[in-house]
Amino acid sequence: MKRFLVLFLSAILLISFASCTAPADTGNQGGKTPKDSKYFFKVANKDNYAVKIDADMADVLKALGEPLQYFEAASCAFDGLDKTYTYAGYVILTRPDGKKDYVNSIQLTDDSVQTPEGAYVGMTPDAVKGIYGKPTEETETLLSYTDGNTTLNFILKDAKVISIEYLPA
Amino acid sequence: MKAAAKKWIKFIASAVIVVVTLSLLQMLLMPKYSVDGPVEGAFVAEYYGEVKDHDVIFVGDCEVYENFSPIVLWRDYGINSYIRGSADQYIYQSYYLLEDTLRYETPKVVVFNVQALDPKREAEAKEAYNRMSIDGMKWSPAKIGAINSSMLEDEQFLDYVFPILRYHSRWSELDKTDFEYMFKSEKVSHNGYLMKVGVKPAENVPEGKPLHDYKFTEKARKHLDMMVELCEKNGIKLLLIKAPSLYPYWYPEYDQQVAQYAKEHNLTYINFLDETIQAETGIDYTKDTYDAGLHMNVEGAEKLSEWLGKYLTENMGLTDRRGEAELAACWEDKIAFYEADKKAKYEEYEKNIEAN
Repeated sequence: MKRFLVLFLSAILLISFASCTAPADTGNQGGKTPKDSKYFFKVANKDNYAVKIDADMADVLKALGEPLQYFEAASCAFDGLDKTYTYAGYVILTRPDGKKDYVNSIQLTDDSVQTPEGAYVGMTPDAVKGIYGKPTEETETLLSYTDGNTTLNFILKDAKVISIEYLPA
Repeated sequence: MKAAAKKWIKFIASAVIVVVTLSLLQMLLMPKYSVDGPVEGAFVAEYYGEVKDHDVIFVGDCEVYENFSPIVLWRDYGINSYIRGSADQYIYQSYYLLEDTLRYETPKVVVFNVQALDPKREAEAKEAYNRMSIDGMKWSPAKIGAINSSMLEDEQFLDYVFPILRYHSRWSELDKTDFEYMFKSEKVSHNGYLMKVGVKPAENVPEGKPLHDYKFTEKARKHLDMMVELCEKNGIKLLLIKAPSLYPYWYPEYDQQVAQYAKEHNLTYINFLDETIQAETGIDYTKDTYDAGLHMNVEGAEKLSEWLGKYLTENMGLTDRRGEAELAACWEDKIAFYEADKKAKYEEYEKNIEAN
C-alpha cells in the first residue's frame, strides 16, 4: 500500500517536473535573442541605419526619429501594445515584451526605398531571383528567403512585387 | 477476510486523501482570473452559473464580448442572450464552446463573429489564449474536442486534464487572493459582455499589408462547416457577423469568402463595417470606441445592440419575453448590476482624467 502511494506521488511529481516549461500565463512572445541574419533593411536617408528584426525599437526610434504616423493596439486581454510606425516608404511593427518593444516586421510599401541588395516594389520576380537566387519558398504570389532570425518575403501580384517584408523566421 | 477488507479500506482512504490533496493544490495554483486578471479568463466558466434558457448565443472573441450588450437586447427587445466569448477565441474553440452550450440549452439563434476565421490568428495562436478558452470548460466530449483542436506543438493533453502540471510553478507567486478565491470567483461580465468606458478616437488605423494568400485555412473552413451542420441539426439559425472593429484589418478578400460561403449555405452575413449598416447603427469612431477603433465603449456597444435587437426581432423571428415574470425578475438584478458597474467605471474613468 505504502509502496503504491509512494509510486503514485512520485509519478505525479515526475510528470509535474517533466512538463515544467515557460509559464502559461504570459501573452507575449517575448524578446528573442537576436541571431544574425544577412537580411535587414537599411534606411538610406538616415546614414544607412540598419533596422533588424528583434531589434529594440527604442534604439530604432532614436536613429529614425518620429514617424509620419503612429498607431497602437492593445493585445487581447494582456498588457502591452502592438505598435505601428509609418515612415515614408516603409512601416515598422513592434511586439511588446515587458517594458520594451521589439521590431516584429518591416514592410517596404513603395519604390521610394529599396533593400540593401537593390530590390524594390514594382520589380519582376525574375529580377528578385536574379539578386537573391533560389528562394526558400516560391509560389505564384510569394518569393520567400530565410536566413538566421529573419524571413524576407516578396509579395507578388500580376507578376510584380507589390510589397517587401522582413519578418521573424 | 477481515484483514483483507481492512487493507482495502486503508487503500481506498489513502487514495482519496491523495486525490483530494492534489485537487486542493490544483485549485490553489490555478490563476484566479476574476480577481487577478486577465478577467477574460473567467468568462467561459461564468456561463455555467446561469439559468440556461437563452434565445441567442454569441460565440467569438473580444469583437463580440466587448461590442454587444445582452443587457440592451433584453431591456429594449426582451431577447434573452449570452455571449460565450473568450480572448482571441479561434474558430475551433467557438465551435466546441457552442457544442458545450448545446449540452444545456438550444438557442433559437447563434451569432458567430467571422474575425475568428482570419488565418493570421491561427498562425499566431498562443497557449495563454488556449488556456483562457478551455480551462473554464466543464468536462465533456466538447472540452476534449476543444483541447485536441487547440493544442500547440509544445502542449500536452495531460496538462489540460491536470492543470496542476502546468501551473505548479505558480507556487512561488501565491498570495492571499489565491487562498481567498480557491472555491469562489467574482462575477466579471454581464452575460458575457465586458463593459469598457472612455473615449479614444480611431485615428491613423493602418490598412492591411498585402498578403500572399488570403484563403481561410482548411481547419477554419472545416470548423465553420461543422458549426453550420450543428446548427442545422438542432434547428438553430446561424447568423454570421463581422463586428465593426477597425483593427486587425478585415480584408475585402476575407469578406468575399464569407459572403460567398453565406450564399452557398443560405446564411445571413452582416458586416458592421459596411458603410450603410454603419450609418444605421450610428457608430461614430470619434466617440464610440475606447481604444482607437478596436472595440466599442459601452455607448458604442449599446448602439450596436440596439440595431441588432431590432434586426433579430424583425428578421430572425425572436419575440419579446419581458412578460415572463421569473425571467424578468432575473434580468432586473442583471440590469441593476450593469448600471452599478457602469457608474463605478465612469467614476473611475473621470477620476483618472482629472489625475492626468
